[in-house]
Amino acid sequence: MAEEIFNADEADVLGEMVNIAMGKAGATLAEAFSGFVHMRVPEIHAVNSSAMNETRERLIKTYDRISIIHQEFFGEFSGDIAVIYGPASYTALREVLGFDDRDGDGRRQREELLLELGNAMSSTCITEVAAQLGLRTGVRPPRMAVFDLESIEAAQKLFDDSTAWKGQTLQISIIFHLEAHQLPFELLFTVNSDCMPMIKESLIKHL
Amino acid sequence: MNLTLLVVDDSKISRKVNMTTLREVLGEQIRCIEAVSGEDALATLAVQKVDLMVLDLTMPGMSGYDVLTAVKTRGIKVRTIVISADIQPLAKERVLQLGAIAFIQKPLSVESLKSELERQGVIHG
Repeated sequence: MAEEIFNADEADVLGEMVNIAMGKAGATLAEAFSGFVHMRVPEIHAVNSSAMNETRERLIKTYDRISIIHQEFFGEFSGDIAVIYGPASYTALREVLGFDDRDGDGRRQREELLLELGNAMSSTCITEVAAQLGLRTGVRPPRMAVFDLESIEAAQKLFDDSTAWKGQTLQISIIFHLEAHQLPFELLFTVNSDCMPMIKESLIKHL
Repeated sequence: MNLTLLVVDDSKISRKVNMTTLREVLGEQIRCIEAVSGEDALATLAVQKVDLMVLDLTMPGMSGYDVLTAVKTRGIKVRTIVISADIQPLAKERVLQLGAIAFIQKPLSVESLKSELERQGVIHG
């Protein structure tokens, strides 16, 4: 649990900051789909094998196949963020945006759409958390880490092959549910351990 | 101003910010009751007359939407202001349809609360 890193009051302040960032990212998603987005309370954990296994199991249980957009953020607030899409996400995007990509290079168009939406959500979320913490950050361009893979294989790539969980201490998980399409979208981000002293200092100032 | 207020939020820091801001705008005489969940809020409303409820939307268990629905269904008379980080336009529309008198974006500020309370006639500028 996050209490391994923060005391209960510090974790509460961070939770509220993430909540506000989630609200802005959720509004971005709602605008993209012209729909209503349900938001759950964000989960904040210390990065450990138990939290990772829990997330891995949840992903495998929730989705048959997934695509993952990955971005690094850097500066005083640094780490990695992943946007996780289920297979229905793209179909819904195609319906909402009203285009037909059955001819031509559909995969490229699909990747571009997922990258664009993922970039909008993750940049909004990271810059908002950093702004509230009063820490400087920047977000690198997104890349398609996993494209339409079976969730077991995708989770393996995310947790076993990736370097994103090495040297990280904090895992924050945000789940959005797009009402009209019954779709979950997830933002999963981890924070580098060398940022922790400044994050703690900032949280204490808010108490 | 002798008002009884119910401040509903799962976050301790948010309840603290909301209560401090409410006292700054309404004065030190107000009585603030805290509820840490939607369930807790409904239990309080069942036994206590509340003049104004300040309600969060995203909470574990019962959400703010669930609380507003229950208040409406049970016929509880309480003016409710929603204070939430959920800033999508449809969120505001829905809480107003469910009976809230106002929606204010988190984090709460003295200016936004004062202007909303004036607009609702709770205080006079």
